[in-house]
Parts: sequence; structure tokens; C-alpha cells
Amino acid sequence: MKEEVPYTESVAGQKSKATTPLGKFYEGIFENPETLRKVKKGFYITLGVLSVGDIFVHRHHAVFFWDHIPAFMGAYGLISTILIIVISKYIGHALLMKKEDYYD
Amino acid sequence: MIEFIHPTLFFFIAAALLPFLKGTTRKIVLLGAPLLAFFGLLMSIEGTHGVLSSMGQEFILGRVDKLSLVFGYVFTIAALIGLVYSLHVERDGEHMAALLYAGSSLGAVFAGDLFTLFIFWEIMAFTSVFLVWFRGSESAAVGIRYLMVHTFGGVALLGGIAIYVANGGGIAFDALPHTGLGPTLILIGFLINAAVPPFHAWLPDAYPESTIPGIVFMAAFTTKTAVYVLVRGFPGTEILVPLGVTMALYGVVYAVLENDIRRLLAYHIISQVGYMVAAVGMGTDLALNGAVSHAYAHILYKGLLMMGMSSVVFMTGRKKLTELGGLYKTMPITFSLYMIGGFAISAFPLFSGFVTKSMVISAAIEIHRPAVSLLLTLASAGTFLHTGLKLPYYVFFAKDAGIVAKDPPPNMIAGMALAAFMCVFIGVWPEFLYKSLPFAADYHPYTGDHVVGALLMLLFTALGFFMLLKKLDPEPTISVDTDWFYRKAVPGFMWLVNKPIAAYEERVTGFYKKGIIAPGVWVSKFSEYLDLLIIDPLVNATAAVHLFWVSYCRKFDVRVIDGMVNAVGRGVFGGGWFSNIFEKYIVYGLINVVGYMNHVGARIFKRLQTGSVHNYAMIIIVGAFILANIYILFRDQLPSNLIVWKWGLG
Repeated sequence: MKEEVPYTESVAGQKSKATTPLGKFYEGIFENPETLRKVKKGFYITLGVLSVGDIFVHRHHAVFFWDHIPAFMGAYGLISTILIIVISKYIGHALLMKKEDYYD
Repeated sequence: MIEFIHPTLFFFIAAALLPFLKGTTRKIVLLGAPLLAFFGLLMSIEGTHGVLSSMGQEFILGRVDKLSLVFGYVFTIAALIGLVYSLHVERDGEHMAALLYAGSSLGAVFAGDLFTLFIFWEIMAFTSVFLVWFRGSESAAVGIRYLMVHTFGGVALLGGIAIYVANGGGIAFDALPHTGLGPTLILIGFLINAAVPPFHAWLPDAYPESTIPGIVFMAAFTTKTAVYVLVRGFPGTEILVPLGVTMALYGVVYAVLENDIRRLLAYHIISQVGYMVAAVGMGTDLALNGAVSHAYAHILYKGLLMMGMSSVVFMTGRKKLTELGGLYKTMPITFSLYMIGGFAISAFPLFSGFVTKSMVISAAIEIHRPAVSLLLTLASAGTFLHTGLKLPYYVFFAKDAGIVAKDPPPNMIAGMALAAFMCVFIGVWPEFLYKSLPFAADYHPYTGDHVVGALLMLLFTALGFFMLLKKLDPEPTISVDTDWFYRKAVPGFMWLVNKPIAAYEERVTGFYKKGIIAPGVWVSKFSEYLDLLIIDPLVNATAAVHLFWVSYCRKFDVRVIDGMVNAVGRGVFGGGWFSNIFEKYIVYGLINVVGYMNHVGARIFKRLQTGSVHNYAMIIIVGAFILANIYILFRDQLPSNLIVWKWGLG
């Protein structure tokens, strides 16, 4: 029983380069600070538009009180993310995370 | 007209044929099995097929209804995707394990009674473990742990079935009662396979250690078969709601901490199956439809995510977030297809997760469970955070790890593309999935508040991710889980062995000494007297007879045999003296005579060798004359005797 041998090997300290057309296309987007700034701007605009637009969206099944708060889901998503990261990392460092050779 | 061909049949036959096939035929059989099984299911007619009557019970191999069919469809599709992805693998064993595993999962889905279910349940465990073991020698221990947990689950299931049947429940597998020891044990057996904490640790322990394509099968079958049997056997069991919500959050917490890319995804299987378990607990038609459809979508997008990360491990040989980075340039196709899976699991509108996960959350809202709906939404923020943002960010972007990689072989890309297509297809055309759902519940995912709400939640999650990016940097650690109890708590187990069990054993030994050894001592005493009185005199008498016989033999030896030997020895000695004389005077004398004759002859011939030609010529003439005389004298006798005459001159 042999482990599958990876096709490629890595060279430490060397930056990888795109070789395929798709890779070069992505490289043009993500390696260009100008494009990234535009993406960021678009992202914030979308957040604003969605938050404001949520006021006008008709609620089909408004059951709980928070269903009427505009952009509630946005706030909830942000708070959830922060809670997940902070609490998980706290539990992890306090209790769960061990060195990689813990079981050896 | 054939009403139903059991899909398991195709898989098992293909597995049996595989070792005898090579090249293209082998590939055709590999892909043909799931395809034929799929089309067989499309044409099957609902009802009960394959009933075996034995011992007054009915064993049903093929219970075909909408619920089993929808799982049958997605299992065959998942098997096809997995087999396409693993087509480059040449080791027959891996494919055979995968085929048997997929086939037995289908067997469990179409089983109509508890015993048939149990049998396929066990085949699943014992075939899937080979997908772990084929990874290499270091996976041996992981495989054993995996097998131990599933054996425990199997025993719980079998014990539960036995108690349930003994109490008059019958062996038919339909909705089971929520109370009683039998159904509880059956439920525990199901929950172990569904990876419900605290019985979940086998999943993140074993899955990331399985073979590169093996994990695609692992991610599809075991937990989803468990979801199927929960929907079938325990709909509306209240305990499943808190368990499911716990699962959904549990996986999210561990995913924050995890450094191994495939283990991170394994924790998200637990999280996603949590939605399904919670939905089964809610038990309404909409919730059960949500559980089934979410299982359907989950098999496809989780398969895609696992294929993506397995490709990364396959092509780079690395599996840790801390060692990866910057791969989007060199593995752009893998990156693109992975992201489709990431959007699907995160429930972005137009992807499959959106049309199924929202159904579960809507079901919770419908029955007024605000805590459940909020906690499941929180978990879905965590899902996007990890599988849609953190994992691709640290694998494909972040710090360039300088890995010289490229996209995987075409068949692996094809497997991923197939799954990606299904993810988008179901997201765009949910009716395709909804019309095969088993329960009657009208649901429309694409309403304004659903779509905007989902987008708001996801995009603000992304905002939170980029705000706290520094905190999320992966750390080279492992996280302890409930498998700690059977991996690290061995000293505790040894205490149990040494103290209470050893004390118990001492009592048993004490009883053994008093009850068995002591009577034994009396028996041995008795046999001692028997020895002294009867056996010893007998032995002594025998010994005396023997002694007399030995002394008689010795006398015979000394007087008769030795004397004979001496006589023969003397005779031989006398003969030796005579032959000595004979040799000395007769044999040597004859040899000397011959030698002397030679000496005389040599002197005569020496005279003849004068060196003068005329002397030799004289001798030749005399010789020729003598030969001529001999010829004339014996002419009459010659023709019949002399071969030269007969063949040469005649």
C-alpha cells in the first residue's frame, strides 16, 4: 500500500506563476491593486444598496419581530461571524488546540 | 415488464468483475454500474419488490417509494461522480471497496425491514474502512478506530432490533415508536452513523485520512444513509432538534480551529448533517422535505468541495492551511469549481444549497422555533465563513507558498465539473429536485425576502471575515475532540482493568481455589495411596524380572559372542600372514621377471636401430618376404577371416 505520489513538487520561497489562460485571467484581476480597489468599492456599494433596499422588500412570512427590522439579516450575519471567530478561538486556545504530535 | 432492478446488483456485479478487466473495458464497467443503476431507478415502479419469506418473517430487499427513490437517485449520481473522479486510480481494491460501499448504501436505502437494513449497514462499515486503509500503513490505526466505532453502532442497532422484535414490534422498517429500549438502541445506532456528538469523532478522524478519491464516497454515503433512516424511522423525535442544532454549531467551532483542509470540510459535514437531523426532529412535511432535499444537495456540493481539496492534496502533496497558499494561479480550474461548491454550501441564491437549506430554516420558522431558526442561520454564516471564505482564501490566495502545481488530470476535473453542474442546475431549477421530494409541501425559495435576506447575511459575513482576517490565520495545531476518550484516556482504561476488574478477577480466583483446586487435592492424595499399594509393587516385580534378563544377556554376550568374535579375529590374522608371503615372493617375483624380460628385449632392439638406411631396407624386404609367405601359406583361410581382404582387396 503506497501513498499516491503528487505530480508536482514545490520550491520554497518562489512565487508561483500562472501558465494557463484561465490562471492568467485570474492573475489579471487579483494581482492588480486597481481592480481590487474597484471590487472593494463594488462590495461596499452592494452592502449599502441591499441594506437600504431591504426596507422595501415585502415580507411573505413575517413571524418574529425581527423580521420587520430592515437589514436585520446583515447585522445578524456580521455579529454571527464575529461571535463564531472570537468564541471558537477562545475555546480552542483555552481547551482544544494541541501540538500536532499530541497523539503520537 | 421489469418493475424494479435493485441498484445494488449493478454495483456488486461490477465489483466482482473488476479484477478480471483492464483498460477501457474496466472503465466502461466502472461508469456503467452507476449509470445502469440510475436508469433502472428512473424506470422502476413504486411498491414492494424482492420479498423473501423465511422463518415466518418477510425480508424486503426493494421497498420503492418516493423517499427511497430520491436517495437512490442521488446515491447513484454521487457514485458516478466519485467513479469519474477516481478513474485514473489503477488499484482494483480501491474501486471494489468504493463500489461495494456505494452498493450497500443503496441496499440500506431500499431495505424494507430492519434485518436487511442491518446487513447492508454492516457491509457499508466494513467496505468503507478500506478506503481509509488504502491510504497507506499510517492509516491502519485510524481505520481500526473507525471500524470500532461503527461496530459499536452496529451492535447497538442489532441489539435494538432484537429487543424491538422480541417485544412484538415486527421487523418491518417504518416509523418506530419514540420510547422503549429497543427503539432507543436503534436510534443510537443511527445517530452514530449520522455523526451526532458525542458519537461524531470517527468522522473527522477517519475521513481526512482516507485515499484521495475515497473521501468523495465517504462524504456521500454513511451520514446520508443515516439521515434517510432517521427520516424513515424517527420523524418528529423531539430530541433530534437540539442534537441537530448542536451539530450545526459544533462543526462550525471546530472548523475555525482546524488546519487540515480535508478535516475542516469533514467538520462541516457534521455541521450540515445537523440541519438535516434538526429537520427530522421537527417532523413536519416541510421539515422532512427540507431534510431530504438538503441531503440531496449536500451530497453533491460536499462531494465537489472534497474533490477540490483532494485535488489540492493530490497535486501539491500538502494538506495544511499553514503550508498552502497562492494556488489560484496554478490551479485555476480547481479554484473555480471549488468556489461553485463553496457558494452552494453557503446557500447563495442560484446555487443548490439555497433552495434546500432555506427550506429547513423556513420549517423551523413555520412551527415557531425562533431559537432553532436563529442558531441555524448563525451556523450557516459559519459555513460561508469557512468553506466559502477561509478555506479558499488560505489555499488559493493569502501568502504565496511558491508551490509549482497544475490542475489535476482530466478525469478529476470532469468529476468536479459534473458535481458543479448539478449544484448550479438544482439552484437554478429547484423544481427538478422538488418534484421528486416524498412529502406534500409547497415551498418557493425565490421570494424577495429570502433572496435579499440571504444576500445580506452572506455579504456581511464576508465583511466580518475581512475585518477579522488577522485573527483567522491558521495555526499549526490539532484540536482534541471526543475521540480523546478512546485515544488518550487509555491510562484511565488501564486503571479500570487493574483495579475493579482485577479485584473481580481475584474473587473469581478465590472461588476457583476453594471450589475446584481443594477437591482436586483430595483426588491427588487418593491417587498417591493407589500408587503406593498397587502400582509400586507391580513396578518393582517388573524391574526384578528385567534385571534377571539383563544379567543373562550379559553372560551370553561375554561367553558366546565374544568368543566367536575372537576366533574369527585369529583366523583373519593367520590369513594375513599367508597372503603376505604370497605377495612378497610370487607377485613381486613375477613383476621382476617381466621387467627383466623387457630389459633384455630393449637391448636386442637397440642393436637393430643402427640408423643406416640399407639395414632398414633389408629388414623391410625380409618382413615383406615373410608376409608374402604367410599370405601364400594361409591364402585359403584368409578370405573368410581377414576383413581387409573381404572389403579392401576382394
